Amino acid sequence: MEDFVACPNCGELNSPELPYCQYCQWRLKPLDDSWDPDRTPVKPIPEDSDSSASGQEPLLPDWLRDAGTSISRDSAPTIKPPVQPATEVGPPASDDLLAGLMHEQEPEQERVPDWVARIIGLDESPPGVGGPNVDARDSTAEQGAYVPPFIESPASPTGTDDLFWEADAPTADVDRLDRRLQGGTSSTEDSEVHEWLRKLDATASGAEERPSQRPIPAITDVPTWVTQMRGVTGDLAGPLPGGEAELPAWLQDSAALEAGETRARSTPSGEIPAETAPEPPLISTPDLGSKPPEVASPAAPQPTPPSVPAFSTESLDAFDVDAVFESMHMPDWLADVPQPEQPPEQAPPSEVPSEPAEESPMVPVDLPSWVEAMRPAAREKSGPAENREEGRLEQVGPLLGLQGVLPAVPAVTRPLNKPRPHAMRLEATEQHDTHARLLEEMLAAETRPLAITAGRALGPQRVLRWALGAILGLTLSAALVGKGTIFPFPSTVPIESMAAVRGVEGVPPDAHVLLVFDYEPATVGEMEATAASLIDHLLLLKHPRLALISTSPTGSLLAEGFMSTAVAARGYVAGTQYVNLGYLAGGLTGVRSFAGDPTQSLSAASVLGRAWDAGVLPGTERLSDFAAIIVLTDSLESGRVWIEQTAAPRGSTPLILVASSQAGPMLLPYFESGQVTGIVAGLNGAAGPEIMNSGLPGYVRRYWDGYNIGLYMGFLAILTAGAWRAWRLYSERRPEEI
Amino acid sequence: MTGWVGLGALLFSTVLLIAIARLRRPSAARFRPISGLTSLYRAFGHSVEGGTRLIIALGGPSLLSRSAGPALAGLRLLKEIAQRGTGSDLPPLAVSGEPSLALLSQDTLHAGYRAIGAPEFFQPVTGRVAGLTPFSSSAATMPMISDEQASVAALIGHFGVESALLAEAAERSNVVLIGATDDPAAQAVLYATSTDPLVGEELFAAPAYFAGGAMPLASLTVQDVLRWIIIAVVLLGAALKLLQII
Amino acid sequence: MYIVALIFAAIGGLLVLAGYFFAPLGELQRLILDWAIIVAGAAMLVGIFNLVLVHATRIQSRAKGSSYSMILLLALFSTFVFGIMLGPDNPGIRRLVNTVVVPAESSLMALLAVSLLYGSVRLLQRRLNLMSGVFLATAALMLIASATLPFGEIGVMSTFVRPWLQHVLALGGARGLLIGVALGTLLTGIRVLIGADRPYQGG
Repeated sequence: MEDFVACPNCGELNSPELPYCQYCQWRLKPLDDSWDPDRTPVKPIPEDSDSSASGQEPLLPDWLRDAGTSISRDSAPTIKPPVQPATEVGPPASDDLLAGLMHEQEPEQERVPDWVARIIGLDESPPGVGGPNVDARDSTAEQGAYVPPFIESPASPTGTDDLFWEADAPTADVDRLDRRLQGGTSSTEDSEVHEWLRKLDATASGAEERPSQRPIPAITDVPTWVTQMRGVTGDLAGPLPGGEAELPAWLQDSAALEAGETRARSTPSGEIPAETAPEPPLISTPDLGSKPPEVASPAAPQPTPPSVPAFSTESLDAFDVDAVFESMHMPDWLADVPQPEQPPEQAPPSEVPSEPAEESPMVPVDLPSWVEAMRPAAREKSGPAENREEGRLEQVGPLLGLQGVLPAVPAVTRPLNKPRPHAMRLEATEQHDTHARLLEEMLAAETRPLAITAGRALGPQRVLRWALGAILGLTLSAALVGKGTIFPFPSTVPIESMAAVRGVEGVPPDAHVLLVFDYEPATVGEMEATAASLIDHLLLLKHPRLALISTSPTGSLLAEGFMSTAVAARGYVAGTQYVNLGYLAGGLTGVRSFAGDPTQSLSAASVLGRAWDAGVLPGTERLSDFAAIIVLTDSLESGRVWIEQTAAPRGSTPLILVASSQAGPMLLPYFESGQVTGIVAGLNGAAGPEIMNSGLPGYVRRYWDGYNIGLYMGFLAILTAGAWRAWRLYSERRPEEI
Repeated sequence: MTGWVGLGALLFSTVLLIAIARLRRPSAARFRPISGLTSLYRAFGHSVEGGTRLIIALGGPSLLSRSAGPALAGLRLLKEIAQRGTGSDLPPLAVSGEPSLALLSQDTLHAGYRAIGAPEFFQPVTGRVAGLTPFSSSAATMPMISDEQASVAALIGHFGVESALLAEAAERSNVVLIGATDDPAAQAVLYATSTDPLVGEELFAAPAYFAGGAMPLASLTVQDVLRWIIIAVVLLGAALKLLQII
Repeated sequence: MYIVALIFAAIGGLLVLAGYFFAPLGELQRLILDWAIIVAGAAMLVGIFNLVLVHATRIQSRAKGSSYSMILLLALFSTFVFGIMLGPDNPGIRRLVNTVVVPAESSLMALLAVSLLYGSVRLLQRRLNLMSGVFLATAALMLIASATLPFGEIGVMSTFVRPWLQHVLALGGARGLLIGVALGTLLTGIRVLIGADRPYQGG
């Protein structure tokens, strides 16, 4: 019978081989004997695997992608079993050295951003997945820390350069730092190196003591994310005084490192890697107040969540992550560093922060500007308006009843799927913030009973529509059929209509007139009624030869219809008294081209261009050769095009517009400014010309009664609807007042 | 004289546009709320979530006409929507009343599929010509609103009063209709009949509201600058006229 | 390919634009405009092909209303063939237009009157606010001021209210709208000219 181990946390039985409880993920085995050196926790991913960070995070700078890739390639072959358990007090070893960094609790609750975790191969797991946090912290501390390759190779100038160049650091600092990195180490700097190493030696005397019992020397310029990348739970809140000035210059001198002149024998707990440690004089101390609150304030120690390299294919509870770190191959300069022989409390003042650190190791620290720049930026709090919008209750569709599921504002600041070329730190934080907020709101909404009020759907009111349609149709049909003359014409003729009539009357006899038919079949009724009297007046008095043209595909057909119906009484014959030039393609461009050279434009644009040469319009080669241009249009756009694009070519040729009632008022300014000779707009405007044309052909008179009845019906309908709505409002509010 | 003033305004606008696009951070832009665009944005989200279709009607102006501006703005909006909505169960449908516009809408939709890495799923009929006259185009679009399982219809481009037919068809099918046109008469019609109208130049703000970007935002800024200049000139002219100086 | 399209678009646009301001470039401008017109005419054929494709797809998939699509295609092809053969001034073609196209679109226009009236009636139910009230009041005033009474005109309405509303309020507002639209169009055109917006190739 197989033995089982009861979980001290949940009481469930587990297999004794399991390091964690399979139910609650509580650590079952003590840390000091849980490591199985034969186990290979990390499987190297194939070279062509695209699960690396580089393949998942397109926004990452190259050096970070490369770092993640190199981790996945390099870490697995170099994994070694730990030399000895971390609990044993043994001779100085690199593992112990790094393990000493682990027992200081996290001074702040900042978590590793997802993008960083993916890059460096760590994976944040929710509490409980990877075991209790305390255990995980201990495990990390006692079994060594994971050191990314770009940290392992401090002597690589390329890596160093990339790191700094890709970081979103102030340019001045980066430039200066780069100059220092490339300029070699001066003698003064060498002396600083040796002085620093001597201090390290003195510090190393305390290495035999259990790391958890040692306070960690204050770390000054270590960014939190770097610390967490290494699994370090060091104190980042240490003060700065003197710390920056005492940082070793050898960390930035790659040449010296390669020569082995500055071989480090000890690295203080939580000390930052050489690449990430800027030279103190080069880095300006940022304002403490500008830091995020979680950094600036000494937070209570928080357990570090267990982490696992992202490139591992095993789940977190399948192996001990810390063992991986412990088994990592350490660089020589780290492996040879002896354990500190004295506790950190007795570290030299240059190593340990002075007053604030002695009083409390959780003193806020001024991070260098370049570290600040690489950190996820302070979260931008959403404004109250946005929060209010985000919390909107969905009232339609499949999301009915859910709150805050869809963003309420356009994605100016929050694109849905398209990455923006902004600074990555801002976006990542904002996205996470938004998603977290949405998730919280969704979860809160799930537990909160909400009274879902169904929206008042307007819904199609077929009855109303049918009633309106029936009343209008019947009444207007009766008016048209009755041919009554109940409603008289207006007594006054609009000025623009009168001017149009005068313009037509000013056309010389037998002259050439251009007629533009720019209206759609839908408005044939109105346009023919509006234009008939004016054109009839022209044909009756002056007998001009006409050229018909249209910028609408159906315009030429409508022109033929107009000539055969509206002014049929004049008996104009196609090909002799008028010519249909057809469809002028190109809209505005076609009109401009036609105005510039009518014959050339037509030959290029219309298959009917040959009609120009048929002899109907002899001597008319330019637009100004026409005696008048009359544009029949139902749209503002078309009228404006003919007014503006033909202004120069037509010269002094009168331009008369016949417009629909909707386009007419918009074109009036052109008449008032003198660009148009006259305008006949709608039935109201056409009444005058018909009166002046002896009531011929009578289209306006035929429609006038029905037109007026329609106007009154519209007026009454709006009035009734307004009164009904007001009464409804009144009746709804009256009970409340009572 | 007028021509040179126009040329100067053109050059000034171009320089200002480029300068603002280069110098100003897009994130610094602040928008006034436009209910029509907010409604369109939310309705688009609903359509994607609900697996229904969004219909964008681009109107019927020729690209060679003056109304090409609204049509281009509609195409720009279509681009943004295409990139986000092509992954939906029912991808967006672009309806045009002019052939060249239909070609461009097809190209835009295709680009949306390319952007999500699935160009093979693009169907040319999702960018279609409905008709060659305004009313025939509207008549052909009306059944699309009811038959294509649409939940949102956006009229972005040049439309006339025939847009009221589309609005009524949308209401009958419980479809949210957002109307934006450059025609004042059609704006009046859409104000009364659409779910949410966009008035005046608000339709040019749609791409910037949807996607941001340096150039659309700079464009809006330049519009504001030019508008203030025109206001100043109009007021100055009125004052000079009142004083009988001119 | 993007670059080629961009260069063509920018150069073409700039040349046409320059032709407005510099007379020597007028001929070149006209040439480019003619090209554009030809392309626009060809695009019309492409558009018709697209229309055919859409409805052929509906017929093939037996979608809802596919029978109407079949009628449409038949009408399209017959009109196209006869139009080419007979020309637009043929009485048969004219009769076709006058008895099919014009009545169909005119009925849509008539339907529009009902839709507008219905929309106005429902406006207060849809959006109950001050501007809706102003909108409806203005519409009602314009309607009544445009009409005449059986015994004559409504004096103040036709001589003062309607002209003032139409020429001052409505026209002033419309001019403001048009200026705004013109500015938007200007900037949109500039963006296309400088290649910031590329409506071609999905850019």
